[in-house]
Amino acid sequence: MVSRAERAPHPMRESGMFTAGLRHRVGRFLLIGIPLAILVIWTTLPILWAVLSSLKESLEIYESNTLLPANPNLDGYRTVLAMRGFDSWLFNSFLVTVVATIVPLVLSIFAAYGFARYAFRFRHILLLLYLVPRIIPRVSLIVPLNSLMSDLGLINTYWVLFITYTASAIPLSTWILVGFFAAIPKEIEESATMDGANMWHRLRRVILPIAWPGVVTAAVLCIREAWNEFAFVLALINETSMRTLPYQLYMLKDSMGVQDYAVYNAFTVLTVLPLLVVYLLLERRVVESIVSGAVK
Amino acid sequence: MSTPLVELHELRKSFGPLEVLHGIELAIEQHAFVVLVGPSGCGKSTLLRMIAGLESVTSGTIVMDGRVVNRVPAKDRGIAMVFQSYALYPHMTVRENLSFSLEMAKTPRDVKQERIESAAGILYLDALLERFPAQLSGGQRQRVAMGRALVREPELFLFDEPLSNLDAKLRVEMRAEIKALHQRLRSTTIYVTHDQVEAMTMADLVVVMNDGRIEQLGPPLELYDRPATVFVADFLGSPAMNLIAGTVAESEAGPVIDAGDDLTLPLSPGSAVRPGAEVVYGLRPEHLRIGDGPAGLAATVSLVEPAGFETHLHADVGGQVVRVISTERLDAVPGDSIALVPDTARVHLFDSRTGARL
Amino acid sequence: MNATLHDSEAMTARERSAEFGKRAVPYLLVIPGLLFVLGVLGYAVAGGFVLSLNETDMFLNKTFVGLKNYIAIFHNPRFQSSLWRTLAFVVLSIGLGISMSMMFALTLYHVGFGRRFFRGLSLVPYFVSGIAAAVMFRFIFTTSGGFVNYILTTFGMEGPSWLGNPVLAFTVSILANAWFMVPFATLILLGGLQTVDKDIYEAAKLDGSSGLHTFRRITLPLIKPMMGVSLIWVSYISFSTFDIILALTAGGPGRATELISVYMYQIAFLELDFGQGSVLMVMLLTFNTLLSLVYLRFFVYGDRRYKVVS
Repeated sequence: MVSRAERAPHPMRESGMFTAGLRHRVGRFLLIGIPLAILVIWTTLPILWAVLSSLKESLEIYESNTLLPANPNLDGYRTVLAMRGFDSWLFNSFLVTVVATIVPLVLSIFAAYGFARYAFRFRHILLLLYLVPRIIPRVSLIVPLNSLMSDLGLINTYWVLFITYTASAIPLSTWILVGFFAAIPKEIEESATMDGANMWHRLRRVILPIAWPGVVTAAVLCIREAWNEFAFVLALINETSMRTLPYQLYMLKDSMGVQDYAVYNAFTVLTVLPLLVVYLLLERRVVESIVSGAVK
Repeated sequence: MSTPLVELHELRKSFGPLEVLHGIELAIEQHAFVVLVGPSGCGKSTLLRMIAGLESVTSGTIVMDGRVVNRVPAKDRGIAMVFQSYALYPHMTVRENLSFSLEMAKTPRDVKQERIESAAGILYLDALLERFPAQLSGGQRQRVAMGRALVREPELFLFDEPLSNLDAKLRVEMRAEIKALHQRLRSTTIYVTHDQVEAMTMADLVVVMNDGRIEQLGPPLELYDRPATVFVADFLGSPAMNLIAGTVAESEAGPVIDAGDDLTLPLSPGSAVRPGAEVVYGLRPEHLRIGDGPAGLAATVSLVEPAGFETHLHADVGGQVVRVISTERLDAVPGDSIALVPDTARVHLFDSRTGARL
Repeated sequence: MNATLHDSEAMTARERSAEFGKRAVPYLLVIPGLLFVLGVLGYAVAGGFVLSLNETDMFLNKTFVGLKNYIAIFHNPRFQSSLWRTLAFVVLSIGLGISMSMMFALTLYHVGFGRRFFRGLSLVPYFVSGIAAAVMFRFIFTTSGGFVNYILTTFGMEGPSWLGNPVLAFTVSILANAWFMVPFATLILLGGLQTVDKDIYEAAKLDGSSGLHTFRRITLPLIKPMMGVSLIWVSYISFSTFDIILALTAGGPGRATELISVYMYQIAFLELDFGQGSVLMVMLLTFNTLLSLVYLRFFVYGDRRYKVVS
């Protein structure tokens, strides 16, 4: 941070310039530094505390409350990984996330291409039908969905999760992709048309590569929705082996008699970690998309 | 003469209730360089896009090589197009940009290689083949866009305002380059522009369009020397032709134009015009001479623009602003009184009601 | 020649079917996704309305009862208090959420070093599930072994039972909810700040404006649309917050944090009254839609006299 006073010649006298520069710096430090510190602490503290607690020994917390684990160890994680059913919860989460990312992504790529590139009757109303569901709170649907899916006999199946997750992911990813597709100049596609590319080729070879940041963003947000989903799985699944990780994390509260803080926190860290890795890998595109207003 | 490569018959285009092209008739010969020129919104780009197959035909026919192609998809018309924005594929290298159409046509690898190399050679792109469009200058992108058209070895090249994104100097260079390329390859070309200088300098055949109609077509100099309408007269030439409305009157020396306010404009003695006719009197700025003596039209200098080789002058003649080009260095300043001598042999007369040449 | 041209004018059957196929393309692209959206979300909304007019028994058999469920709910004191609680929760969350987002957005906008890092970091909570966030906050605020009470103890103070006290539990719920929703709102606002042309600030400076004045008179009006978007997001999350409350306090202590969404879950899935549960769903939906429309009207599409150029 170079202050302006240092870069540009200043009309003030030497000493005046020094104090002005200093005051400027201190002011700037307070104005930026303090909120920045709050931001960093606020953002990381809950996660850091979970990680630290997960490394403590089982009863350490009760005996003497310390900031850092006295004897850091991975017992909590070992216990979690050895839990009966952990592998199936993990598998359920992965499976549901993969399906509920790929299917909505493919469907919204087609839909977004249709909306961004064609003028057709009912376009406006169809687009509205796609986008309005975004303001429906997911949790509000659990009561009728449970009744509907019971009638269809789909409770406690993967299908019910595939279908409901896919449906609720489509509006957001379509919205993102319509924006990205529409931003590609029409001439580029016309040029591809003249070069002999049919719709499929244009989509695969021209549109998707150019709109790739949008596709990545939509994919990451689909993954996020599916991985973290709770309301639907709570309402539609009640068999232990069919649970996903967030559901099981919620159930831990009841299932663990003596609250083993380390295990509990280790479980939390393990459910959060995979998604954070995905996010950190693709962080730049996601942040850029949100800041540029492509995700609203 | 052989049959034309492209023929347009009674071609019309409507967007909803709005008709933007009103029955275009045009024949384009093999190897010709045809420029469609006109103000923005005159329908020239729409016409080009219809020929390309990017816009549907409302009525009329497009014939290529004797075959009606109205419903033939763009890729099967043997046409390549260079877009105003270049429309390069931003995610592909220059080489990939050039090879895309050949890939789509499933061209064998060696033919592909050979065509890319030859196009790159012609357009000086050899050193740039592995770069991405974002790493190229405006002129280089322009060349890639042309190269992309070239590799397809099309029967017909279409250019849609290809130079309007370049700065003035580069525009002049590329203009010459495109012209030279055409002279070398002899491929039939249709070129759309709103810039009359491009039209004049590049075309074999200029088609001046206005408001969805062809106003006049012909070789550039013919259009310049004998514009068929006031619109063409006004559109071609820079600075534009002086156009003054008036009435034909008789004088001792033969017919003259009475432009009101005591302004009388001379005509050549032999002019066959009907006295009393309402006309527009047209005279190009270079056909007005600054007289040595008092003979001529009395004028007051209002603006002097020294352009180097020429001097452009605005003068007030009987309340009308008249533009004059002189190749002499003038030391006139605004406010000076001068006399202007029209070259009566170069006067254009138009019917003031229809705008047609008399 | 003319004759052949005219012949070609008439479409052959094949051409006609090709033409039809071309026209069907956009519909074919759009409809599959729509089937999911309408079939699941649309059906659920419609089904919810129907359910709200019916009484259900243990086996989910329905009997039409008209507005009986609505009347029963509105007269239920538990509902009334949860409604007011929800409104308080939403208002406080919006206040806290928007001011924090604005502070963070301004900080990220002005920070000179590690800009990308801080931006990326600020979004991390967005990727933590509501359940995990709630669990994390529980461990920060647990009476013994919690982070906050550890800090208080080191300063010689006795830490309270955060989640056992109604007011404190309500406060902690608001904090946890804010932690989860602030990051996204921050980046939306940051995007708004970045679209404002820097020349405008220079011009304001030359006009003698500075600091807070510039922020109030220049920045705020110019980022109004983004403000609207982040308001929609913040109130959407606060209205429908569910997993955070359920895992943090489960509505307790007592009913101190029982918001409408939690109440809906309990009445439908624990008391198995789907009819009344659906009434609450209809209410959540209506509130949320109305609020979004209001924001859109006032912030995003309200003022057409100037356009914020991006």
